[in-house]
Parts: sequence; C-alpha cells; structure tokens
Amino acid sequence: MSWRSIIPGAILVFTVMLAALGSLFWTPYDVADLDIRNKMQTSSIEHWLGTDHFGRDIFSMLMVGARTSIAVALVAVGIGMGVGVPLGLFAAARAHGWIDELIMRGNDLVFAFPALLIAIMITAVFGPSALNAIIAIGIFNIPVFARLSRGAALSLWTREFILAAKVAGKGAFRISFEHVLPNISNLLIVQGTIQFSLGILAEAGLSYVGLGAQPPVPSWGRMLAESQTLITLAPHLALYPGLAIVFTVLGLNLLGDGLRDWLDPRLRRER
Amino acid sequence: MLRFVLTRLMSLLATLVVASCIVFFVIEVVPGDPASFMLGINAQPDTLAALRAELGLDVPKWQRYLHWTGGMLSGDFGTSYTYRTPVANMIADRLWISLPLALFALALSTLIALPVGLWAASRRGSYADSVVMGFTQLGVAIPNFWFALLLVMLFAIKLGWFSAGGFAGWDAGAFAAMKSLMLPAIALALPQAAILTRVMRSSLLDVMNEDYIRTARAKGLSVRQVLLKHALRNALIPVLTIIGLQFSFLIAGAIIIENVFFLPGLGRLIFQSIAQRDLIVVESVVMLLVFAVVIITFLVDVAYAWVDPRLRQANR
Amino acid sequence: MNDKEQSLTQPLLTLSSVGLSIHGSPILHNISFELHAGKTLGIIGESGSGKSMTALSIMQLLPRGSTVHGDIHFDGHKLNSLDEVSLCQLRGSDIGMIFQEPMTALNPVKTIGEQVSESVRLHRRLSRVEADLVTLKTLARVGLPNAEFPLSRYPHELSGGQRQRVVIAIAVACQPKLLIADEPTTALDVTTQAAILTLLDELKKEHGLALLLISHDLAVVSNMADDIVVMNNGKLVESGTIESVFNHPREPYTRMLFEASALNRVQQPAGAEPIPPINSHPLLSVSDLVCEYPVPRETLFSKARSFRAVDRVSFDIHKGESMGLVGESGCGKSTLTRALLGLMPLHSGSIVLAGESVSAQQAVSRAARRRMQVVFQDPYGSFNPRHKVVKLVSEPLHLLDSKLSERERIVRVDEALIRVGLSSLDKGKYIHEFSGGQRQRIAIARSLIVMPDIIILDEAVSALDVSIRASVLELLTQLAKQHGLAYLFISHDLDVVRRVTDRVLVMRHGQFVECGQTRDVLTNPQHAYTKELIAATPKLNYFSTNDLR
Repeated sequence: MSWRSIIPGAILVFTVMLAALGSLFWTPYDVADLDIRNKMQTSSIEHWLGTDHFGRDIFSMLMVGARTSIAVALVAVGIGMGVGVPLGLFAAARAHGWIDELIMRGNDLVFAFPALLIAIMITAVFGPSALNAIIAIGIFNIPVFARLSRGAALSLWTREFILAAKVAGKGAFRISFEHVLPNISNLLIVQGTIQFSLGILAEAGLSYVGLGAQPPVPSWGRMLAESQTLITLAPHLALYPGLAIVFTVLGLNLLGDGLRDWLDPRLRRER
Repeated sequence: MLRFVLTRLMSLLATLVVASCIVFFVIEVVPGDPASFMLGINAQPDTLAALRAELGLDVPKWQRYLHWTGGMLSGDFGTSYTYRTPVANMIADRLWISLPLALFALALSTLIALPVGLWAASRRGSYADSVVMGFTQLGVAIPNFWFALLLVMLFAIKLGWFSAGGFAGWDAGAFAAMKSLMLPAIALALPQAAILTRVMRSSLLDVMNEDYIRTARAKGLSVRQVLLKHALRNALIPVLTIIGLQFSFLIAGAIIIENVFFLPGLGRLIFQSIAQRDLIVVESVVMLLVFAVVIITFLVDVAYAWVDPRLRQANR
Repeated sequence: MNDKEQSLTQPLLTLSSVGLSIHGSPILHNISFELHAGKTLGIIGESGSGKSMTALSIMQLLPRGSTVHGDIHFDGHKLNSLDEVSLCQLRGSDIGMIFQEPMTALNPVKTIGEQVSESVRLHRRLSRVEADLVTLKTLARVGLPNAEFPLSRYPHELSGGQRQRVVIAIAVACQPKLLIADEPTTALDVTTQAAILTLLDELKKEHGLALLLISHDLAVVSNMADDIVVMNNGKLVESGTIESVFNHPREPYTRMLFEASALNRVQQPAGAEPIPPINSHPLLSVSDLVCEYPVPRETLFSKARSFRAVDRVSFDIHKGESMGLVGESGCGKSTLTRALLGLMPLHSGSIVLAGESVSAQQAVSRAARRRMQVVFQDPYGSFNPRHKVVKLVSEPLHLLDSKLSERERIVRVDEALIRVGLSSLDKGKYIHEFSGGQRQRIAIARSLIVMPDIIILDEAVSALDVSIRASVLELLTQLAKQHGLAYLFISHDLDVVRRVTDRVLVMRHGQFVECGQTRDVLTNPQHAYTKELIAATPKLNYFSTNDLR
C-alpha cells in the first residue's frame, strides 16, 4: 500500500522542479536587485516571504536556490551512476577476480572519505565553488552505486537465464547490458532518488559552511548561513530556506519509497 | 576469530597507507606556496628560502611524505605554518570537543533508534507505528544544521535554557561542558536516529519473515519472545552497517554543527586553516578523521563477527 | 470433551468444515478429516493445493489477515478459538512441527543446543543443566550424538539432512502428541530422505504420537501413512484409508494423480529396443575429464588449494541416444554440466563434440555451441523476466553464422513454439504469464530453435508437479524420435531416468561408480552405492500395475 506515497512525493518534487525551471524565465524580483530600504521585511503582498538583509526578495531567492540545489545534486547522482554502475557491472562480470578485488577495495577507500572531507580537500587546493560540491558529492556517490549494482548483478549472474545467455554464446559485456542492467534498473532508480535527496542535503551543508556555490549565486545553504547572524532580529530568514530543503528532501524520499514498492516485482505480481 | 581480526587489521592498514598518500598528494599539488603566502608578496628570496628550510619544504615530496607519516606514527604532526606551534597540540585541544560531541551524538542516536525501531516493529501497522514512521520520515529530511538553528531559536533564545553557542571548557566541570555540547549533540543525533529507526524497523520486519522465525513460533514462543530472542540479533547485522556508516556522517556533520554553535573543535580548526593556507594542519586533521572512520569500520566488522557465527569461521 | 478416558477412542485431531481466507480471498474450502493417536495421516496434493496452509491452520501460525471458519479440535481444545497464550503452551509441547527447508529453518546465530533446549525450558520447568541433558538425549535420538555434534555447533556447520534432524529434535524434544511434517524431505537427497522418514516412523512408534505427513510425493506417503487425504485447489478431493484410496480411487483427479505418478515409475524406457550402433563415431565424447574449483585461501599466505569436483570421468553419447546421469547433491553433476557447456575451465582431459574440442579456455565456436543446448531446472529463473517470449526463444539464434531477417526469426520462433505444443500467439507474452510446465516447454523451444544435436536437461522436470512432469517427459520422448536428438538427462530422480533414458551413469564424489543400460543398472545394480540409491527411492505401494490398463 505504501506505493501510494508516490503521489505526495511526486507533487512536492514536481513543485520544486517547476520553481527551479521557472526561475530561468521569471522570478517575482531580480535576485541581484538590492533594496536596502526594504530590508528584513516579513511577509507582505509585495514580498510573499519577505526580504533579506539586503532587501532581496526571499521567494525569488528560493526559486533560484532550488536551481542550484537540484543542479548540483542531479549532476552528482549522474556522476555516481555514470561511473559507479559500469564499475559495479564490470566487477560482477569478473567476480572474485583481481579486477573485482581492485574495484571493491577502491570503493572501501572512497568510503573512508565523507563527502565533506573530499570537499575540504578540493577547496584547500582550488578554492571554493559550486563545482567543488558537485565533484565531492559525485565522488561519494560512486561507491554507493558500484556496490549496489555489483551486489545485485552478482546474484543475477548465478541465475539460470544468464547461463542460458552464455550458452547462447553471448559475451560478458553483452550479457551485462542486455540481461543484467535492465533487471537492476529498478534498484538504480530507487537508489537514484535516495542519493538525489542526500545530495540536496549535502549541497545545503557544503554551501552553509561556504564550500559550495559562491555569492552572488543564491543557494539555500548560504541563505541559512547568512540568516544565522540575524537570528534574533529576523527569525523568518532562517525558516523558509530550511523548509524548502525539508520539502524537497521529504518529497524525494516519499517518491523513492513509493517507487521501491511500486517497482518491486514481488509486490507487482500480487497486484 | 583471531584470524578474522588479523585479516581485517591488515586491510585497515592498507587502507590507511593509501588514504595518507591520497591526502598528502592531493593537498601537496596546491599551487600556492605556504612560505610565500606567510611572508607576503614582498618577501626577500633568502628569507623565503630560510622559512622553507625551517618548515621542511625544501626536500623532495616523497621525503616530506615519509617524514609526515613517520611523524604521525610517533604523535608528531609537524609544525603549523601559521602559528609555529606543534600541530599535535592544536589538534589535541580541539579533539577534546569534537570527539566527545561525535560519541555523545552516536550514543544518543543509537539509544533512541534501537528501542523505538523495535517498538514500532512490534506494533507494525498500528496507529503508533504510523506516527513513528511519519516522524522519522520528517527527521530524515531535516538538515542537521538547520535543526540546530531551530534548537537555538527555541531553547537558547526563547527559553534561555542553554547558551546559543560557545564551549564552557572542561575546566568548568563536566556538567557545564556537557551542557554546552547538549544542543549540538541533539542536533546531530536526531536526524541520524530517524534513519537508524527506519533501518532497525525494516530489518526486524524482514527477519520476521524468515523460516527460522516460524520454527521458533512452532516451538511455542510468543511473538514478543521471538522478536527479542531470535529476530533482534539477526536484525542487528544490517543495523551495525548503518551505525558504522553514520559515524562518518557524524564526523562530517560535527564539522558543520561546530560552526553553528561556535564550538572550537576540529571543524573550526580546519576552516580556519584552509583560510590561512595552513596546509599541514588541513592534511593532519583530514587524515585523523579518515583514521577515525576506518577504525570504526573495523570495529563494525568485528562486531559483525560477534553477532554472526558464520563470519567468525569465514576463513575456515 | 473433558472426559479423559474418552480421548482414547476419540480422534486426537479433528478438522470439521475448515475454511480459510487471507485478506478476503478464499484459500481453503470445507476441509474435514480426523487423526488418531499412534496413526499417520498423509496429505497429498500438488503445489498450490493448500496442504501447507492446512498445517499452518492447525498450528494457528497463519499469515496476517487470515480468517479461519469451521472447527479445529485437538485433544479437547478448539484451536481456532484459543487465545494466544494457551496456543503458545500447546505449540512445541503438545504439537511439534517440521518444515520443508532445513537450510533456513534454524536461526543462524544460535547454537543447535540453544535452539533445542529453548523448547525444553519453555515448556518444562527445568534448570539449564537438566534441559541440556534432555537436549543431549533428544539430539542423540535423532542421530546427532554429542561426541560428533556437540551442543555448541552452529547450523551452518551441518549438512541439510543434519539440520533437518535438529529441526526434528526441536519438534519432539517435549514429546508432543501430534507431529506435523510439512514436506520434511523434499529438499533432501534420496538416501537422506530414506533415513529421515525411517526416523520419523520410529519416533511415531516409540512415543505413540500422531503424525500428519504432508507431501507432494505419493510414494513417500504410501510408505508411511495409514490414512490419506488428497487435496487440490484448496479443496479436499478424497480421503480414506491408504488401501482403499490407492486401490479404488473414486475421483477423476485422484486417478489422474496416481496415473501420472505411476507413469513416471512403472513404464519401461522408451527406446529400450533400438540401441544405437556402438561402432559409429560418438556425437559427444568425454575422456578423463577433471574439473577443479579453487578453495578460498585460509590466510593470505597459505597455499591455494583446490577442490576436485569432477575426477577423471569418461563417457560417449551417440546420435539419437538418451543418456541419464544420476547422483545426489554435491556429486559433481552441475560442475560436469558447466564443463560440457564450455562455461568452466577443464583441469585436464577432453570434451569432443562432433570432432571439435570444447573448453572454456579457448572460445567455444558457434558451430559447437549450436550443436549443444541446455534446459535448466528452475522454470522461474531460466528466463529474463523483462523480455517477451519472442526475444527469449530467439536468443540462441545469435549463434547462427549469418544474421536472420526479422521475419525469418519470427518464423523460427513460431515453429519452435508449435513444436513444443504452444501457440504462436504466445510469443508476445511475458514469462510471468505462463505456468511452470509451460515455461519448461518454452525453455525446450529455446533450445530447439538452433536445431541442436544434443540437449542437456539439467533436472529439467524436477520442479514440476507430477501431472505436468509426465506430459513434459512425453514431449521430450516425442521430440527425440522426430529429430533424432540426443539427450543428457541429469536427474536425482531414478524414476524419471528409468522412463526416458537408454543408458545411465551413476555419479558419486566426482566419479562414475556405475554405467550401463538403464534397465540393467536399475534392476540389477552392481555397485553398493547404486544399490543404496535404489533401495532409498520410495516405491509406490498398493497401486497395482494392472489398474493402469
């Protein structure tokens, strides 16, 4: 029954996506417009969610911030899948060989570096940027997808339909793409939404400590960082970006949970 | 069992060696020269050379790597470029804030999550279960630093029960010190506890579908007895993995949370050092954190073997 | 009911008009039977007949959302209206249960001693030491003496048969009045099966307990039971004493079931008369084949060792010949199959198929692969669930030297489907739309599509119900006649081998212990192991062959 959580999940994610895409064409105010006279206002007809300490419109900034968050998290998932899945499939096709061993040990190694540490190291070398955040989260995603796809592929490789394909003379590469990949795609989609939501959280964390997108590009994490000094004067500044993050992540998680139940072949057979 | 531990120790050492190479060489390819950064653009070449010699920057990179790792083994982390004091001392002071914070949060998260997960699983499908699951869904989605801000707003600014930030110091007594770590630990722990609760619950429910649970029920054990005597220990296996993984999230999280509460821990140290190009400090702190993650992974592996007899004899 | 003396003449277990529905969908309808102390009742039925659900209804261990109607009376209790606490007191103490899958029926993180004594301590007020004594005695009784199997053993250190003995020990440790055995030997080898069945029979006699034996195997039930219940589709088809039901089945379904089972057993091999000329060149020739697996190293520095799964075996198969290969699990059958299919490197020796050498070391040529195809055991796992039948069946066409046009492929798929008794309309469906028997037909169609000379049938009918098994075997015999196909028929089931093969190889510990004409080997075995295997195979009693006519 819990596949029904797809609906609220999809609505939340769709709304945020729409805001992000919409911000490319229209925002209530230009986020580069400073209007110091109207700084730190609360909600009004003109400024739906108020203004920040430079008088910028919070709602517009949230829309543009959604773009940053989604872009960073989405590209990071892309990196993780693009590199991790082929590695995992390759490792499974050569199970227990030295290549498999090398890939898996490499994965263990990456797991020893939380995304934040990778970001810190990159920043130490190249200075802070949104690209940092993408690379750091992306690298951290690689072993997640590699492990997942290797594990799932390994159990598939013992299945008889793969043996049948071998008997039909197909090579490991072809079997991986014709038989293994389609059968693990559900898992990858579900994990993809989970990593996407973790990516949103990570991006927010990185830009909060200044390792992510740099001013003047608005990002939810940095909006929170800037609000912190004004927390006694204008608590609403700390509220909206946080809620935006929570809604996005919640939406993605609900969507992921729902998809998992929806795509689970065991449950589907019963339907 | 001993053989299992030894094999794991070997791979732990290998991971550390490779990790130290990565950390060293990534940070050493940095274009900026610490010596010229410290003395400014107008530095005289000979003063620069003298400083480089003093900092040990004039020898080949592989020698510096050996010096650095060899030093770390004996507790000598080198000398800070900025403050000219031993890095080991700087780290030690900060460690006494970051480590208790991470452990406090880990303990809090585990102590909350395991009983709640067990409770929800035993009342699967009930109203109480749905409420718990709803809260965990929310907990998973909340960024810990924002949660920290909300806690500050409520407990420090509005109610005034805690201070909004800063660290009382261990000299002020254990109670005062723990009190200043309380809000940060809660902020770190609750989102992790939400994840752990979900894992605990679903792992228990998975195990409850196993054949041996049916065998145990056929023996005459009640659902509750089966849950505690048979399901719990088996369900802990995936839970341990998550606890291990969470430690690395907690370390990362602690770095951010220290910023929210202005705690002078390793996180503050690392950002300060990046800003001041004090690379040897960055290197050493990163390496220390990697070491902590690897050690925890090792402990989780050993705990696995303790829970699951099949792994104890894996090499037989 | 509370009159104790009456219970001697009264049945121990009575089901009257029991029905079961799960989440509203009906599973069991109107099941009634009785079981007396000291007797064995056999419940027989094919998969999905509801026999396991009947057992779980008695235990009241049904899945969530189940509702039971009717009465289940046991020893003065109405089980389906008893509260959970009283049920827990009955389970394990008065009613014991044994399950089908011994590999997963024991808790992997607890010792066998803990698992048996837990049941003892739960139902009797005994100290730990006393409970351990009972446990030792019970384990010794089920054939696991303490000297070899101390209480500190973990389940993963035991074989399937030994684990099933532990499960039995748990079930009988408190000397129950009723023992329910749900397919207790289905997952075991025949020799182990014989030992476990003997043990159950002895325990029944020693303790005078009532045994409810659930099985799909008529022969097992016919040897053990006093009374029998035949179930189909959640309904009770027929019941009575074993003699009356076996000798005079009233219902058509029972008759069909018995005939299908008997067909498997009694008929003579199809190709008994024309033995292929031995002097011709063999189609497949295996000589001195050795296959080894690497065993994981104990430590990083110890020497790599290997396990010899196939040890110097030689045999020939001629065109049109049907060869059987029998052996229990772990005898090396699967390794041999993998080697023949070119999926596993050979350690030494050779496999020659129509003059061409086969081994995984060098790429097996398309021509060789075309000559040899395979049908696997599992009708569910043999197909990629995401492909349509047309793609599944046409997969081996990849082996043709020239690529076929789309129309030619379809024509070949249609032909193959029709040849195995399916319709060409089936090619647009997905595999989950077919039953187990139909899936095996599709697997056969897939192997036929490249017109091979030999098909390896790896336990190809083991997972099928008896009635379906008979029709698939019929199809195989017919295809062999039409196309001059050779078969290598790998099976643990002697009766299936007897039915379809000309010659047979008996394998044990990686070697052939006996080979020869199937009829000779099975009627007059020479090697002790073959004799043991034949003796262990349950015979279908009571049912006289005359009735077959």
